[in-house]
Amino acid sequence: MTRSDMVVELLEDFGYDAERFKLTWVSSAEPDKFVAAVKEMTAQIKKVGPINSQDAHAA
Amino acid sequence: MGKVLNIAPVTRIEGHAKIAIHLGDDGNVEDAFLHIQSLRGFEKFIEGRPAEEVPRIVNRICGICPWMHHLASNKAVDGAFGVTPTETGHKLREMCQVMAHINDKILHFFFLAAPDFVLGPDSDYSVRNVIGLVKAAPELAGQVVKMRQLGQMMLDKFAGKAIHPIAGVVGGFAKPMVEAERQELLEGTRTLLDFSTYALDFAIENVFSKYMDIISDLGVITTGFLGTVDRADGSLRLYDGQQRLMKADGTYVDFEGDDYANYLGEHVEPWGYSKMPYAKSWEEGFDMSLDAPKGIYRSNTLARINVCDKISTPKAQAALEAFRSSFGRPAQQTLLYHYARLIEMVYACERTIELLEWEGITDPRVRAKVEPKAGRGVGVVEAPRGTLIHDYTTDENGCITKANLIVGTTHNIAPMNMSVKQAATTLIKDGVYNEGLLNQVEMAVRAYDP
Amino acid sequence: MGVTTAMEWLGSCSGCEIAILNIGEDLVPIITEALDIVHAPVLMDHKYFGQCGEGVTLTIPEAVVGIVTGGVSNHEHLEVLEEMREKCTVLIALGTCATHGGIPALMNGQDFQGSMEGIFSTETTDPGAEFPNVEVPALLDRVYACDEKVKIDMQLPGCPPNPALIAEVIISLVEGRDPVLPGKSVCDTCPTKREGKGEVDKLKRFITNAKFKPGTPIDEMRCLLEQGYLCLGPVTVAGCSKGGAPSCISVRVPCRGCFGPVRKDGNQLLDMMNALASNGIDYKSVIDRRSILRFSGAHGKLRPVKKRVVEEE
Repeated sequence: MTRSDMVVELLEDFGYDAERFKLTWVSSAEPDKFVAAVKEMTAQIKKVGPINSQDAHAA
Repeated sequence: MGKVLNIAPVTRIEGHAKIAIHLGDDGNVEDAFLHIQSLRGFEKFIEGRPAEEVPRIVNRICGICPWMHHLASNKAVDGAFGVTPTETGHKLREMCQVMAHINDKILHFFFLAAPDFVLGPDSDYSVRNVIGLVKAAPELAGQVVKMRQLGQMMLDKFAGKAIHPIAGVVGGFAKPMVEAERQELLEGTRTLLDFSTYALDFAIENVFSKYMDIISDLGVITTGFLGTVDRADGSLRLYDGQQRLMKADGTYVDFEGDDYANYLGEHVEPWGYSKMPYAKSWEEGFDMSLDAPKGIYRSNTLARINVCDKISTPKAQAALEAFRSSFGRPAQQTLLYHYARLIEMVYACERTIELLEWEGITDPRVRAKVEPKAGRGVGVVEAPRGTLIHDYTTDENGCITKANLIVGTTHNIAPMNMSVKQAATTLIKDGVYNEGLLNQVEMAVRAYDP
Repeated sequence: MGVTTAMEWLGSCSGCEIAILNIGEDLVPIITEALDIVHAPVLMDHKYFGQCGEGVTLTIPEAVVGIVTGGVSNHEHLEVLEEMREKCTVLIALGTCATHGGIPALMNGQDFQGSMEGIFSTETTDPGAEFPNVEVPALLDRVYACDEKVKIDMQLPGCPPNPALIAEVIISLVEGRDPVLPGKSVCDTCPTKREGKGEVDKLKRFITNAKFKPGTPIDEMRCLLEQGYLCLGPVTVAGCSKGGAPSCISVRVPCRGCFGPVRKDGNQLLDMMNALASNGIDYKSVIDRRSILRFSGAHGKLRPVKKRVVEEE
């Protein structure tokens, strides 16, 4: 758990959005939870957009 | 349309600059500028950093005078955290700073400036440099390289790094000096003192007396001066003291470093990245006109030699008296910066010996107790190139929230522009110019050791 | 005649040039015999636009060896670097600014242009001052290491670089062999006593001096990381030592990583976090983590912090 917290903070340290990383615990008996997690993450990534677009904006 | 001569880069100086001389249709100088080309942004990127780390970041402002930034910064952090360094910590810092002045002066006078005088201002550019100097005067050059190396290695060995130092810390110094180190440093400094007095005599005989006509004319302007003097007796100080701002007529005011913002302002021109400090307290504004300059003062060696009432060490005091009897006080001739530099080198050696002979120098109590906290501190030292001011504000974690720096060289940006204009206007007439004359314009800049 | 050599400085402090002079006794034979210096603003008077400044194109003479110090942060730096690449057979990036961005690349962690403009509104600056824009080179969008802009043949980091290694690079080139340069970490070459992990779980700020007995050898002092100070020895390439312990350690001060990462493309912040985690030290006790990249912020490593996206309802 600490390591995944650290990943989030380090992403921020390196100037990336913290939303680009997420850890979800799903057992093999929870397909719905898995689908929901993937959908949610996909939506979130679409929202923050490609990493390079930010560079283009900054330049 | 006239034309522009772009002397770029200005060479044998320690930074990035170019000279642009604008000639009119008649071939006479219409205007001339010294453009400062470099901007790095230290004031901004130290924001948010823990203040005790800053002295080992800002030393990178200048690789030639890193000790000055390192220590002005340490003093500013002391102030912000409300710490008074232990007496030994304070004196170890001063010793390193004064020693660093010795090396700086050897470097500037012999490696950068001397080729103009020893080989001549008009000699070919391929030999008018330290390599040419080595070939023309191998014995002198060998001695110079050896002495500079001795000074650098003494600092390297005692303080870990001569370039980009780390041994000064908030509250004092990172390690005490032991007796063996003291003896070794004393021996080395005595050798450097011998060399300094030799260098001064050498320069008086071979440079200043030979080039009197150039000295009395090249780049000469009339300005005020800023330096640091002892609070009690007005003698020359490099590490601490009060600031003295002198007008061209020799009258002056003294003020404490904390109060600098009431006396100094910084003017900005669109054609250079360096700001131009001026004497705001004279309430006459800023003007670089050669006939009636406003707010213009100079810093660096000539300024310090002009503002001080005396020098506390005997050999340097004798040299100061000889200097004053020839040139008066304040002396305005720009090339006398070189002369003043060598007087200061003698002082720096004598002062280092004084500090090493102080009985408390090997005391192990080198660092006071430090608590990071919110506050504001102003650290001032005399860098080789002028009064250096670091002003930090910290938050409750002791991290920097705001910084303001006035760097030694910048005090002289406006005066250098004036000297360039004065030199170019006097030397270039009716479209006649050549490499030797243009090098003389650069010599006017080089004297300031920017 | 020696090997023709051109030297240039970009966004630099001149510390690398001073380090060259600190080569010491060997300096005189190097600059007078081994090398034939054809261009070097700090030492000699060759000019970009002809000796009388009448030319229009920035020109540096051809040379076998080119030495560049400093990072690339404005258009003049870029022009000079490209000209050096064009004219020099072997181009050496000297010093950590040239190889990894160095201290000036700390600016990459902020809004670059905005912060630069902020410099012109400090307390003592005349009110209403505008950002200079006449006859001064325009800024790039951030600070770049040299190899982000042109091909670099040899990299020698250090802030400042070690004079002995500079001499080694120059002499190896003249002799036509590969230079012998350090590849280990500062830790690997540090003589301090290591007693094993476990005792320290938090790091403290360097506001108290290290524990040691004055005058005793460095190998009698305990490792500074084990004393609880942040020391970047594990993630920094060796090379600073001048015969004894690493320079900062030799005066009992922890390493701050000025030679850059151990591998050229290493990441000092990431590697240090790993080192702390595997030693059971809480990474959150490191104040101002991002400044672990203070010497290696180019190559896109230091970027402005992104604000977390706030959900709009």
